[in-house]
Amino acid sequence: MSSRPGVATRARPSAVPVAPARGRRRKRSYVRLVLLLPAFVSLAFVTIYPLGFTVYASLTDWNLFNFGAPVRFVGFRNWIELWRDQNFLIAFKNTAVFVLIATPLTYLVGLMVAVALDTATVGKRFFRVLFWLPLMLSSVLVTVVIGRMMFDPFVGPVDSVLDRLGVPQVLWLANPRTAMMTIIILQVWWGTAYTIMLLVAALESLPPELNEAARVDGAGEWRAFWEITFPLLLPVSSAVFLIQIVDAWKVFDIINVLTGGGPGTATQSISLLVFQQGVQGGNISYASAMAWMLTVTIAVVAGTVYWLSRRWTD
Amino acid sequence: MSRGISRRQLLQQATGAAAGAVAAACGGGALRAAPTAARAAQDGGTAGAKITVVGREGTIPVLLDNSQDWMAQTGITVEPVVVSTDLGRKILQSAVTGAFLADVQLHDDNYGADLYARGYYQEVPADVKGTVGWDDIVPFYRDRLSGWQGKTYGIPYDGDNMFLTYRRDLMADPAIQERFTAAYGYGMDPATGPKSWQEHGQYAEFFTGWAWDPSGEEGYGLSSMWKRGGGLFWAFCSRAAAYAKHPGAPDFYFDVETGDPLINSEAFVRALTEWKTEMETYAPPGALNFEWANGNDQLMTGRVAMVNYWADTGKDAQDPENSTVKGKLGYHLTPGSTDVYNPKARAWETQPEVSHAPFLGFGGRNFAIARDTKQAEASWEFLKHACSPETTLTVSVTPGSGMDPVRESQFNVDAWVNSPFQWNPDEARSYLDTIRANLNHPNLVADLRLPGWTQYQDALETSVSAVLAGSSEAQGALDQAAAQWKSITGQLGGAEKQMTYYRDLLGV
Repeated sequence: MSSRPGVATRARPSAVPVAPARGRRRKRSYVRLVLLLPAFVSLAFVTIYPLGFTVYASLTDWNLFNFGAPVRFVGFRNWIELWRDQNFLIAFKNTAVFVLIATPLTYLVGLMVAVALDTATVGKRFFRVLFWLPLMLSSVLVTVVIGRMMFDPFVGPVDSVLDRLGVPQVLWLANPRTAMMTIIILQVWWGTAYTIMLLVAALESLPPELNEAARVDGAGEWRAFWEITFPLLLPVSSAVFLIQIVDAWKVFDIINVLTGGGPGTATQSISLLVFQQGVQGGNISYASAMAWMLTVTIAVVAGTVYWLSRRWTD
Repeated sequence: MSRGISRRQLLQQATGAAAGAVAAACGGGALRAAPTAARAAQDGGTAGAKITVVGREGTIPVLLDNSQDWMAQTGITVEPVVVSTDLGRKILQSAVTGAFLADVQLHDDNYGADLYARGYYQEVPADVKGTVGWDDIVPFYRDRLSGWQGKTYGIPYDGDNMFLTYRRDLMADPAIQERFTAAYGYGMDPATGPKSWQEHGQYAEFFTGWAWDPSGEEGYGLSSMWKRGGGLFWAFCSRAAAYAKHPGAPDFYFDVETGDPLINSEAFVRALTEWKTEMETYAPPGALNFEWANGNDQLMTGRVAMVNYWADTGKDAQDPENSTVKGKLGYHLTPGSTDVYNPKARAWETQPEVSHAPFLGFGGRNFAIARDTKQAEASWEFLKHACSPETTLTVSVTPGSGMDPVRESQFNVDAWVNSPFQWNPDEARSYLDTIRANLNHPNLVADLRLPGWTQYQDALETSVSAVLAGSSEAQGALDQAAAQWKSITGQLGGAEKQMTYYRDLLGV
């Protein structure tokens, strides 16, 4: 850089003494440090310390209800125990199924609605607000009011419609085979709003000339979408997908309120198990190991998706 | 290997922030510092003191409505901190994290061990015991559930126990009687309902699938709490008690000598298998999701003929706005069995008569004073009033209080007949006699009250729920729960320590 004559001249004007410039830079770096300090402190206390502490806790036998006994270091016993624990394995499988189905569905439905909203000629603003509404609802409202009400086998509109179509009554949340499906439907409905919002913004930022040129060259709507629009949406899509995957692995509130992990263990998720073991059961060490296993899983999956999306978008 | 750091130190270092958050979540009012006036009152008398009291929704407002005169008289102000759900766990979290929740606390008995063992409450002074009529309290609650290791920390206020509530009007109907006798070869007994689980199954079968209620809707035999986290633990244990509790042995959850869990014995397996069949065959659709009151509501709305639940059923039924069965109910001990499993001999035995094993599920609630209160004197004054026989009776017969009899003086039929419930005298007598028979039964089953009890509860509920959902077999699932119980016991100090507490609870 310094070999470029213009740059060197601008960086060090001969009229300005060197020492004061260095002083100003030092002062600026102090200012930067001072400005960054609150962020560092909060990061240390809110993120780094708890993370470090849970790693430590996962290596002990700390149980809140073993009152008066010393905390012992047990190495990786809790981590190994996880893979022998049927409840954890079931929760892991359930969560993976939830992620594998809910995430692509959320994206696909979101993409379809976003494209429809982008191409709509009337009521665009109204429908946009309508589809974004779920974003403003709390999880408790979604699960208790909408989830329970919609899927109530006796008074819910879903069963009422099915009844008119001649479909026998479905006990959505009381049947192990349909409970997870119900939760996935709810998650898709709720999570789609976020996907729609980001994809609509991305669609609006695309230059219309590319699509117009493709049309002039004879491409139909479908071909123009797959060969022009969709590839251009990929960077945003991969970000949306990544966020939805991370979110889905941590699913907790919908399940906790709607089924509590049941019927049986049909909807037990890892986050719910961590809550039950750690917060309700006081088994802090085991819950910490479980939480870390979830974190590692999310990191691996998210890293893989990121790597794949980079390869794809490049 | 011991690291030389105590749990208390670890907690203090690590959970300070969590303590604040938990306490804040439990009720902002509870975190307020004691007012200046109240602090001044500490030095000279209690007039002007302000105290906080935490308890369940329903109970505390009713109690405070009945404390207005007392407050005016003493100059002590009582501020409620009402928790609508999961009161027990919230109090426990405040105990574990060291957060101050309220001066006076009405806690669930299941958590007694966790709360009392860590010295979270003050010991009940002798003069308070004298004032509140200590000897009036039913012995089991007074002697087994109010203290820990010989010290008294709580004053029993709510006496939970489970029994059968059934449609006496239907069972006394001659036409229905005739139909039942024709089908099963014996008559229904409207005075007791089904006495054994075998009879119970036949009654349930009989009432399933036809419109016996004036509403004209198809009825079902029974209801219960089959949802995990929604009362399943108590409903299942009550269902299993007659098989699993041998009249000659104190053991129920554990072998009291070895600490081995008994929840995977043949008795529990049989109970679970039958309970699942009942749910699938004689309960309304969606029963797998029935929890707490909505299991009970099935009886209130004339949809089922029987429910094995707490004493709330009888009181809820008296409210004509929410019940179609006022004056139509009968009460009796939870059905028993002539087949009883002997855990020592590991074999079934046939009893000469039906053996009942009433289950004191949940155990009720005690009032206690927080160790860290700055208003101890005013708080004890409040409990002298709140736990007096007179106030306790008034609160328990008030709709919505959710408090069940815990004192001899509450078994007063006139008080219930003349209460806002306006009970039918015969029904009130049947109701109170059943509760009294439960509490004085020689084969009663105490609920689990050990340190870390929620871990045992969750493990059993998860396994039972998996069986009910059809994803596991009963024996395998209960074996898994038993293995988890063993592991939990190990984590909580070992069988010897836990069984010392269990034997204390059983009085052996």
